Order: sequence, then structure tokens, then C-alpha cells
Amino acid sequence: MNRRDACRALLGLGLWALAGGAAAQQRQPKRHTWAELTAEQQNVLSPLKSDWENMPIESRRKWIGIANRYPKMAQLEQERVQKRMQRWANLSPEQRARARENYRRMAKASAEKRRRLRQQWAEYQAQKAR
Amino acid sequence: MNEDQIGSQVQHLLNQAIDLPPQAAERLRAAREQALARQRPEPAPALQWADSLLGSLGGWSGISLRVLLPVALLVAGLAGIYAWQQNQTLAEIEEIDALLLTDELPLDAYLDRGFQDWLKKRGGGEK
Repeated sequence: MNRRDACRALLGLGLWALAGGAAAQQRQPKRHTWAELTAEQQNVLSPLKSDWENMPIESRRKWIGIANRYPKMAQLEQERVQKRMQRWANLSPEQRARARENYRRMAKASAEKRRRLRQQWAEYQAQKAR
Repeated sequence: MNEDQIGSQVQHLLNQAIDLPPQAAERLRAAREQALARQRPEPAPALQWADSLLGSLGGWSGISLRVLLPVALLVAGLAGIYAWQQNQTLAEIEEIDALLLTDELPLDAYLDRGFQDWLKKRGGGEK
């Protein structure tokens, strides 16, 4: 029967789409062990080496992404990344989330305001030290 | 070959033999009713479930298919959207983290609640 064949074909298509979706989900859990990183990535991420195996896979993927951006950064930026990496990784997820939230909010400010932020930060620290 | 064609051929043959003696016609009618009565209450035994599954998909409906297929597609679609969104969120976090790690201001400026409050107060005072 023609209709039945058509139906089966459609069902097959549906199942195939399902399997495809499931496969897309399954692709994620790649382990990204330290040994799997390229030498360059290992070099950039060396401050994280001791914590690497305890990191969730999403974090590892994120750090790999950042390591891949690293060569395109200015030298000053690269130095900042090296200096901040370990501290950032050791913060609690809540602290990181708060910092990101603050960053998003402050990044919306005008360029002029953002330029003043650096000065304001220095002012604030001076006040706090007093 | 086709069920419908076979059916109409049988019907045609039966129509040709329509001049039956009344008792024979009566017995056929009774037999037919009996057969129908037996068939209706139990559509398909559980044993044949695999066949009836396929059969029912094309058989008493296409209804079940009309329901099943969209549901399957919907589930696949939702799974896809979820995976995509997850991916977007991770990409966004990576982006922001890269910016935070390279930003002019140190991490503490974004972590220090005091600074955030101080900025707010000052911003309010200036206006």
C-alpha cells in the first residue's frame, strides 16, 4: 500500500531526526584531558594544570576556547590572562557569576564612563585604605 | 495486488452469484453476523503487537502516525534547541570570561560588592 510506505518513510525520517538530535547531545562529553591538549594550549593554560582534572568538562572547553584566543591578544592582555587565570578558576561559581553580571552591566556604559572606571577604582581603593 | 482491488473483484464475483436459495442466503447472513460479532470485540491479540504496530501506523489510522511523527519531530526539535542554547550559553560565558581576564580593571573591581555599591551611590550623587 502506497500510503503505508509513505508513512513508514515519514516515521523513519522522524526516528532519524531523533537519533540525530541524540547524537548531537552525545557528541558533547569529550573528555579534554590535559594530555589531549596541544603543546601550545598546555603552555597557555599551565597555571591551571594542577586543577585541570577536577574541572567540569564545560569549564575545560571554555578554557580551551580562551587558550585559542590567546595568540590574538595583545601582549599586555596576555600577561593579564596569565596573572588572573588561576584566581578566576578558583573562585566559586557564584562569585564568577556575580563578576560576569557586573561586567555585563558595566560594559553597557558609554566608552567615556568606562574610561573613568579605572580612575574610580583607584579612588575607591584609596578611600578604602584610609 | 492492492487490497481495494481485490475487494472489488471479490464483490464483483459475489454479485454475479446473487441468485441464492433463500436458506443459503439466510445462512450466509447469519455466518457473516457471527463473524463480525467475533471480530469486533478483540481487534488484535497482544502477540501480534509488532505487526499491529506497523499495521496500525498505516492501518486504522495514520492517525497514530499523524500524532507520533509530529511528537517525534517535536522532541527532536526541542532536543536540538536545548543543545544549541546550551552551546550559546557556554559560548557567551567564554566570551565574557575572555573579556574579564583581559580587562583594564582587575577582577576585584567586578568582584568587590563595595565598589559596585560605591559606584552606584556616586552615580546617583552626580545626577
